[in-house]
Amino acid sequence: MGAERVDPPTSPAVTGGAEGPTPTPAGAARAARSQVVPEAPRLLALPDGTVMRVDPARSGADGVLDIPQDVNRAGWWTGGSRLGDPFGSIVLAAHVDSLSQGVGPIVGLLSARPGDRVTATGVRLSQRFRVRSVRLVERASLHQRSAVFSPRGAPRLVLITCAGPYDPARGGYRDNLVVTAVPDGRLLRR
Amino acid sequence: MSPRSLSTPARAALSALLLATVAVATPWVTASATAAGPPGTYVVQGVPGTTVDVTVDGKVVQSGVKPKQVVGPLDLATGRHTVAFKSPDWTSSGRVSVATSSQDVVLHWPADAADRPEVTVFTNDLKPVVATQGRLVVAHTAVVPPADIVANGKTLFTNIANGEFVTADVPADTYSVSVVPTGGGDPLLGPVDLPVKAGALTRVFAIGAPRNGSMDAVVQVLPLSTTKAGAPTSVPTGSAGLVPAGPSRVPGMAVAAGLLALLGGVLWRRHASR
Repeated sequence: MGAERVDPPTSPAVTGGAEGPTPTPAGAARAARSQVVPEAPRLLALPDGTVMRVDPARSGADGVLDIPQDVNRAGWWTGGSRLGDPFGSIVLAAHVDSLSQGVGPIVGLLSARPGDRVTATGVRLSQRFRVRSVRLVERASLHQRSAVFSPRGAPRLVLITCAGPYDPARGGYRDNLVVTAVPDGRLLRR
Repeated sequence: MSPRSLSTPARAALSALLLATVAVATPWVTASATAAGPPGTYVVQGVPGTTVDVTVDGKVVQSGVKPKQVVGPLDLATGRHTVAFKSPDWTSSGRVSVATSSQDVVLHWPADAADRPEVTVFTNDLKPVVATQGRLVVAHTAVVPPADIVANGKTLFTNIANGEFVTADVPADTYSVSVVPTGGGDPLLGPVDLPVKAGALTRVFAIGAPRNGSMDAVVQVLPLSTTKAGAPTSVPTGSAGLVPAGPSRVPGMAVAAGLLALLGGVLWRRHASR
């Protein structure tokens, strides 16, 4: 079988294996023009217009989300959805305050209302979101709210910071403020 | 393209495709296979109704390759190789560049009438995926016009033409998938159940032609490395206690907070006016 000769090509565009003098390159598949390349969010615009930079944040071995200490920067949970992913939660969190810096811009979320607009932007993608719910959840039970971190369901943005009574003897703020926002308009490509 | 605007041949093709849907549903579901071995070059026989002999650089790799059959991974040295597909009626070939990535060399009919199939190379994206997710690739290698992919009622991808692909990382699940004409109309294919495994690359090649009822799909799965998916159990986001108690910290929906504030204001004013 290996010695079998190839039929002579009937078209110059087609060659018969190694026997052909100049084989044409196989076509390279193209991504459809509608293809979105999901990416990490880099900027978060809050309802009051303040823009925070966003750094990737991992969930450590102790289960603590390792977000930037800088109150002016937010952390994006790398285990969650990205801008442009078709499903799931894009999770961003930021410190509401610190001893060295005072109160951070994310404090504005404490007065967020349904309908407020927030925007998450990456290098090439940008998506505006509309706040759907603002909730206080006890920090100790946040992870039991499965929808917060779920990769399933409609795409959404989940913003988290701290709130509630502050008791240093009991680990600081009691609650997480959880703001859930849904896409408002199309994903923009730049 | 609405069905009303279809030309007569196109309408006939659509009818044939719709009839083909039932026949196609089962193969799509059962064709899944997890390929063993390291990533490499795979050959996909995407031409219904014929067997082919696959040669690489003139040497037969496998003869009598059936439709929907996947050969590989081939042990190919880095560099250029010529992959040829020989049927009794035609020979199609293409030069393929082999490097460190994984790829599928697919024999398929082009969108327009042709006297032989063509060869298209799809590069497999083997980047790690989050452990709960699977990566889905849908490749259009069928003789149908540009199409959309609908999964669980949501339009996941739009306007995919022959020789094009779309991809997304999605939660591992079994999706109810349809292929519909771009711009609307009845499904060209499906809905069928498509399992997407976690930590794997699932490639779906839509193949064949509606005019002879040969529409079908090849589903092929490659393992991927995964990144940790464990959700945080704690999100500490404050350390100074500088945020004071106040109306904006009332738990619950903003509406409730607003109503409470309003009520509070009314009561306070009544109290003050006494």
